[in-house]
Amino acid sequence: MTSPPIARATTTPALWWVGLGLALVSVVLGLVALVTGPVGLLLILALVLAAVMVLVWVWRLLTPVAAPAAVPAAPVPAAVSARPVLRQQGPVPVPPSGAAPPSTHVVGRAPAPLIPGPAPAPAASPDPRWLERDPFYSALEAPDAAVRAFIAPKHEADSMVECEDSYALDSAARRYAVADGVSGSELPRPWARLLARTFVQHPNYFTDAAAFAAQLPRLGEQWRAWVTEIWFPTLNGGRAPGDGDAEFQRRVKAGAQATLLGCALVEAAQRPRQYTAQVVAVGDADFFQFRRAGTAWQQVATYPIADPHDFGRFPHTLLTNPDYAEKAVEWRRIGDFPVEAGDLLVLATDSLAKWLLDQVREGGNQWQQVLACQSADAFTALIAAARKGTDGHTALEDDDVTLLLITVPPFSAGKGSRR
Amino acid sequence: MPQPYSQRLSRRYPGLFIILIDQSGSMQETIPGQNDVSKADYAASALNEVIYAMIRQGKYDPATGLPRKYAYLSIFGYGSTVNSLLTANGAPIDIAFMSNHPLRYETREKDEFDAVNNTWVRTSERVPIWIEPRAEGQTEMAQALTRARDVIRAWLNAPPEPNQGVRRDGFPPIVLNITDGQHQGAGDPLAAAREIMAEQTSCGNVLLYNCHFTRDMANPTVFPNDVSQVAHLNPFSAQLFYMSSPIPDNLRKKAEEINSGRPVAPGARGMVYNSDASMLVRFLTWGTVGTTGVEG
Repeated sequence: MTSPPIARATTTPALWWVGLGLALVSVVLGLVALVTGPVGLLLILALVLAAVMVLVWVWRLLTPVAAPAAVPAAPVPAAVSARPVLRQQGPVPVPPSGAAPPSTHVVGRAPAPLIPGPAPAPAASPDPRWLERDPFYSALEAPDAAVRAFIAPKHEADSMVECEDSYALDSAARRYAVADGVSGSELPRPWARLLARTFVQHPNYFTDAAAFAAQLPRLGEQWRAWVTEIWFPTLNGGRAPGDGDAEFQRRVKAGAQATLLGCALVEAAQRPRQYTAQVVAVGDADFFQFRRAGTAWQQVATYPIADPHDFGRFPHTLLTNPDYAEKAVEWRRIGDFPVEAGDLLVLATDSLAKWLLDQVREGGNQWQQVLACQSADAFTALIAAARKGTDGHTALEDDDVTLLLITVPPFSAGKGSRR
Repeated sequence: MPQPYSQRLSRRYPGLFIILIDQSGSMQETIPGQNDVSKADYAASALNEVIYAMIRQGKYDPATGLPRKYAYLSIFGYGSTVNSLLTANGAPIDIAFMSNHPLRYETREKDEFDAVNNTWVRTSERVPIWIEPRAEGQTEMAQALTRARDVIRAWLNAPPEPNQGVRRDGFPPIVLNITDGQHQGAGDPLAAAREIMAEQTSCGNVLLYNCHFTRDMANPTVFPNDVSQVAHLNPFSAQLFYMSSPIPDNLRKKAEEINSGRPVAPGARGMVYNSDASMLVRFLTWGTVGTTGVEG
């Protein structure tokens, strides 16, 4: 490869020698002209020129060329190969027609890394707190005397924006819902909130099969509108996704998933002036009914999952992708439960529901404390304790948790009491 | 304590993947029947495909609009020297950053079936490229493994980023080594591999998987559980066997999927010998997004 740099003599002495040589040549030429006349002078000049050229050639051969040590090497692309290699249709690549020249690979120099320095921080996004003001992330209905509502992200340190559960309630209409957004789907929190809120506003969209099949794609459309018209432009300085953002479009089409558990108290068909809890479930959020037995609560009903072993990793979900609307009708479970004033109804997302079932089965005492919980701080402490799994009882899994505790009110023939 | 290797990757407990890719001179050989496509082209293409798959696996973080940071990547190419292909110093980089920093894009044409009109339609898609093919010099595999070990140690000991858990509590780092031959150069690759496999988190030891990639398209030996299954193939194959981690029990099922459904015996090593191009892609996918679940 390249020779090591070799120091060459500076040019100043060389100039001296050239000057001296020229002076000598002038003197010799003057003498020759005096003796031979003009023709002889020309002949001599030609000989001298040839001799100088030979000398220069010999000098170049003897002097090594120094490497330009002070000038950094120009960057060289790591390699050249801009042809498609692997195709979608199969793992074995097919070279494109019109034989391209064989690929060339640069030899000798280290390739430039993707990022020349340490990885810089990603470009600043808008303050993430804007999401906390978005109606899909905030504006959860306030609990009241009859309903206690608790929601917590998977990790205590996480902000609520990270929480993918949501809930909705309307105490006056006696309608309640919890929804659990699936982590492996795109932007599930707004979808969870949209489903819960829609159940509370229009329970018949979920209880009536025809309405359900018709409304679900429209709800998916609302989710897509939020993603493309609010979320994405806010993060991207107002820029709307163009057709070119194929990856964005792919993700939006794949969409969000969430489980839903809705409960509406309606007048019982066979028991005038009594409530029935009408429960709609898609997925593994669970409904519990407890009744007072002395000072403790006694489990009366659990729906749709009664065995803690039945909680799986891939529950049925509601999808924003309209291709799954028919499946959702199939996956929907509906149950009616006669309730009495003073009963405690519990809506819990999967991990907490499983933990409650385990606790009741194992005769733990923490579940009674959870049912008695009155404040968000107390709830946080109880969840932290449950995650530790004290006294040999099964621990609560790390997951977002949502809990609605509803005390069944005395019957009143108000808003929403009819089916 | 959780079961070994049961921790799923998440934004709280992200994984570290280190890919070592042989870029020695022999990678310049073309694939039989594919005059203008070299092994280096295949390997780079497979890597780009897998990086893209990892990014797609990460769902949007609502606060940033980028895929969630559930994984970090370091990629080293080794020939006569070991070169970091992502960051200058080899420090791991998260997939959220990778997602919007490709080296360039490439437009590819593909045929898609249009079910409405009952016909094939040629469409084009723009795919990101992060890694370029390259082939040069010797095979300094031991040095590459030592670089991987140093990256693992530094990453496990570094303080986590905000909202991340302690790195020693997450799924252990995975090293994927792709080579077309054998170590040629300084050091002992087996000793370097053992040092890597000795590193650990509370979920288990670091996993080192090796894929020997060939132009011959011979029958690949996939996940051997005894050295006698590979020792006759090449003087180097037995060494590669001992350089490969046994596949943890609860990851064996996934391994069967890339082995075309054939069972993977207990104690089988994370090793493929004489892999063809298709197996290389499956191996890389299994070793990254397919190894353990992603929680988001």
